[in-house]
Amino acid sequence: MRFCEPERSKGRNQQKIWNSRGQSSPKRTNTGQSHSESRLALMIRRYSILVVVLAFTTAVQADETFVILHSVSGNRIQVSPGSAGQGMGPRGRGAGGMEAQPTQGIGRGRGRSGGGAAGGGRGRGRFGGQTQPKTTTVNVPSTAKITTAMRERRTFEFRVMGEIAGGLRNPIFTRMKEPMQARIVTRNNTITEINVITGDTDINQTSTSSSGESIIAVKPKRPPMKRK
Amino acid sequence: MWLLRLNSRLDRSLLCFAVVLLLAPVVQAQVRDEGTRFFESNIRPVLIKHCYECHSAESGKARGGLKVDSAEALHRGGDTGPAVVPRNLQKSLLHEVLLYGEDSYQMPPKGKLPDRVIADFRKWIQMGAPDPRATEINPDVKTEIDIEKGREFWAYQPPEMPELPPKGDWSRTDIDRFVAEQRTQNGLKPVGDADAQALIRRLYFVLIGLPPSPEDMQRWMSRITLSGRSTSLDQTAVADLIDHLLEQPQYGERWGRHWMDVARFAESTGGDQNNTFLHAWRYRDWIIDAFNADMPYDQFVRTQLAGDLLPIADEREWADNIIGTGFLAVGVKLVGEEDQQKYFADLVDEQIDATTRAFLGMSVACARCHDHKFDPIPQADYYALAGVFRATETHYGLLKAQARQATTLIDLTGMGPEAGTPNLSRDEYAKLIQARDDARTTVEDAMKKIRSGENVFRGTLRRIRSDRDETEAALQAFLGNGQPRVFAMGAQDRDFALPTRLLVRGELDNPAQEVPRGLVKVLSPEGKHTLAKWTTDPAVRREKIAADLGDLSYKSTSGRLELAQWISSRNNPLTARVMVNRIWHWMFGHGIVRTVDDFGSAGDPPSHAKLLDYLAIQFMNEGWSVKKLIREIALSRTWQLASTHNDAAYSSDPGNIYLWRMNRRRLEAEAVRDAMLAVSGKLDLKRPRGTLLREAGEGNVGQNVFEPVIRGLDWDHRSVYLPRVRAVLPEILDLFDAPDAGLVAGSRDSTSSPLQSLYLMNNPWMQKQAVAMSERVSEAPGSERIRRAHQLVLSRDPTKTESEAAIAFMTRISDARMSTDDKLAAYCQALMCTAEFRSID
Repeated sequence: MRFCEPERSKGRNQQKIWNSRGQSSPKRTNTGQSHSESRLALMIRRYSILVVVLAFTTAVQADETFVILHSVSGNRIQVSPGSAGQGMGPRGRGAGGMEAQPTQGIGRGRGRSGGGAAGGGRGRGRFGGQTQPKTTTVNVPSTAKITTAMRERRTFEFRVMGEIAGGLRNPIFTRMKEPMQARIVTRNNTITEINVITGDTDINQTSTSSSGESIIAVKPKRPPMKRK
Repeated sequence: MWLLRLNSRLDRSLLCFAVVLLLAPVVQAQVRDEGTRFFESNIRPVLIKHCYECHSAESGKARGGLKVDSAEALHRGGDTGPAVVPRNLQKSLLHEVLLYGEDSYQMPPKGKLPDRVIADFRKWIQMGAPDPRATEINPDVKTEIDIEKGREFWAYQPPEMPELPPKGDWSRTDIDRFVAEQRTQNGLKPVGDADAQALIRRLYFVLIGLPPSPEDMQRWMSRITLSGRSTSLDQTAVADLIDHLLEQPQYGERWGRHWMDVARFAESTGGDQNNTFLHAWRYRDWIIDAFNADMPYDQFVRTQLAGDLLPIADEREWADNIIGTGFLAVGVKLVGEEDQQKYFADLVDEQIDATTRAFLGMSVACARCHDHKFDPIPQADYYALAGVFRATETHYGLLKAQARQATTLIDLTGMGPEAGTPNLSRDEYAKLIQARDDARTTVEDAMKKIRSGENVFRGTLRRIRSDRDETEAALQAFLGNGQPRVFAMGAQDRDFALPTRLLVRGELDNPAQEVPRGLVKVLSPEGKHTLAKWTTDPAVRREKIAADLGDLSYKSTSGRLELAQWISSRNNPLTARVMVNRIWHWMFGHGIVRTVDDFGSAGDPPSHAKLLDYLAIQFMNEGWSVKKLIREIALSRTWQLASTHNDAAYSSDPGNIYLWRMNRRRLEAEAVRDAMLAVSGKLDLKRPRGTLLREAGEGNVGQNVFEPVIRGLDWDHRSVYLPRVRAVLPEILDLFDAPDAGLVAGSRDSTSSPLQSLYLMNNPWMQKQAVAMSERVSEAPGSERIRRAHQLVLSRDPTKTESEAAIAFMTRISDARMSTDDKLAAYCQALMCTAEFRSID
């Protein structure tokens, strides 16, 4: 199993890409080397990976945490761990100062079709495999800023977009049907910002929505009638 | 599969440890939650009650260098060290002083706290001293501006109707009395009155922006001139001429163009990625129609700021009101900006600047980063207004593939306004569908290639995505039957207001206190500058009912309706003054306040303060009618003065501040071009449908819309309908100082450069007009042609000297083997090159 996988869609094509770019399969230990030497090599590899995980987790814990947002109730949100997507927002907040890289799914094997939350894509849920994520309820202070976010198509760079009017009261949250990927930003152990990758963009933003429909104009909101 | 091979205890332990670490942040959030609750209920109230008095920003005191009103301050401590060290009671001085030990400080000084409270503090420190008072919110920014003192400035005091000065021998109207009084006080005497020819020409250019035809000139000369003396004029006939011109649709085009300078109207975003607006023309036409209909100015203001919120009688009015809000949408936008929050902040800033400069002559946007340096406008006022605009969605369109910050447009199909393009035939519609489908297929093929591992050049991907968006937008611009949909730019309210914080130095990452939505303090009643307080004022409520502004409350909307009401109110000291001053500027060439966009202390004071107040109050009393004010000014003797030079007066008042004569000035760029088309006989006075810019296409200038194509667009309609793409103005407009619409431009420069002369002499378009004019002139008998040419171009007969010079000119160039027609065209062009032709006398 590899901890590190490029964050892509989890279809067969993605596996092909990974295969075409990934490293060669780990060598088997029974190829003529002594048992103790191969065991040592395996231990070293595991420890080095663990060090990377520890460093990454520590960095994320200090500033940004990727989660899956399951539900919103008032100022309380229910979240489960998301993929530790690394990326730098436009204001340069990097995860531990690391360069932006394709998000890597932790603890996921090749055999699983995207267990846990993927950090890639535009909010299209890829939750195959893990049906009951462990959730935690978190209080969000009223001063926290709630924004939309997206991932760049090619680089998967995490990009913070605009503020969501109404914050957690916005219908995006009150009427959410599917979990959404999000990043929680904390400072001094307080949540200061939540960046949510929403399925549909703000209606004020023209785009091809996740349902494939292009919207270039909206009907206006009706004002009151004049008194007769 | 590798996981299954973990068969040692160590391996499993390591894996469990890794999982625990991953979940730690989320679990810790729960723990912090409980700690925060404990702090809020047990610690903060004690700190507020017993400690803030001497150790907080609020009290302005920090005894011993210590503040306790933020987590960082507690951790930093004071002169003797950190007050709180999480989980370390020995090192936490706060705990030590609470214990009231004999060898240490004893706090609070009024008496030892109960043991229970001290135990809470002990528990709190041991649990890690959780404190939600995050330090990223800056302390409240306070202003040092004295608003009360600021209200004493002349512009912020309500206008008062002054006593009329004595009439005297010279004055004909009330305006003349004020002007004459100031002139006399400065020892100046006026020059004579303009003769009929000069006055008629002046009226035509000022009111409709076109020269009078020889027939019109003759007709009005015979009516206006009394007793055969051209300087003795029948004011009744003059009034008839004024009324006649004010009724022409060309009046709206002329004066609407003035307002478009103020509204920074343009058909592109400008900035880093200059994208075209294909629907801005609706707002342009709305302005022209509003002036032609003499829409009351207060209504004009309200519609542009909050038209979408105004009560309506029918759907047509609804559509027109929404189009009016194009004022908020046509400004400069940096649509290439990646950071959406920065982009939004800049968009709001641009709207605040345009609104306050255009309607109030104030530069409130200068207070984005700090208190205004010259005027009594604290930074909080800026953010109070920002809260209103942040609750507004601005719809301006653009293609997503070419502008990061594209938005939707507003769909007005079926509400009354006409479409800007003709209907499509079935075949044409089918072609659009085919083009869209082909573009989609191309993108899908490219994505398949990428997924299969092939490389696709990024530029190619961008281009085909752009094609897909363009074809999709082109298709969506029509209904299924080929009928075009009707789109407009404008504003709508968001579903919720966004809380707005004052940003220290204007930096997004440096928020300070939250600022409620509100108005500019110095222009509002004391203590009633927030929307919450202002709307409770009974006078405000009465005004709202009288103006029939409906029942919408700022609580459920953005607050733009309240802002519009406040600006358009009679009680606002600036609105009427600023507009009156603009009208004066467009009539005379300079305003009573020369800095027409700045009535603040950095601007000029009024040259005739009483006159300004008189006109402002008259303006409001006459139903905010622009036409009535124009009429009153045009009928004054001051406005009908000649522009004759006088050495004595000039040496005393070279700037003509006291109006001892009329200012001779050059025509604006649009009027120069229109005049040339008029005299050549090629001017098409009909309003065109939509915008000529459609022929250049939609998108990014330089990417799929090209400058040479835009500059090459031309037609014979009035210049107000020419494409106005920022940084790509038509050459003649650019040369004659048309503004680029980057900012509010209440006044234009008037430069004189060789490029203008070279254009007039050599440009093919000029030559085309000259040839057309010569064909008109040729219709007259040979002996009359010089006279006819002068009448067309200069609205008068040639003098004897000019006739002789003209004949000599025609004779001299006969040696160059030019035909008679060529000679005449050259002469016509020479006349059009004269300064007299492109000046208002």
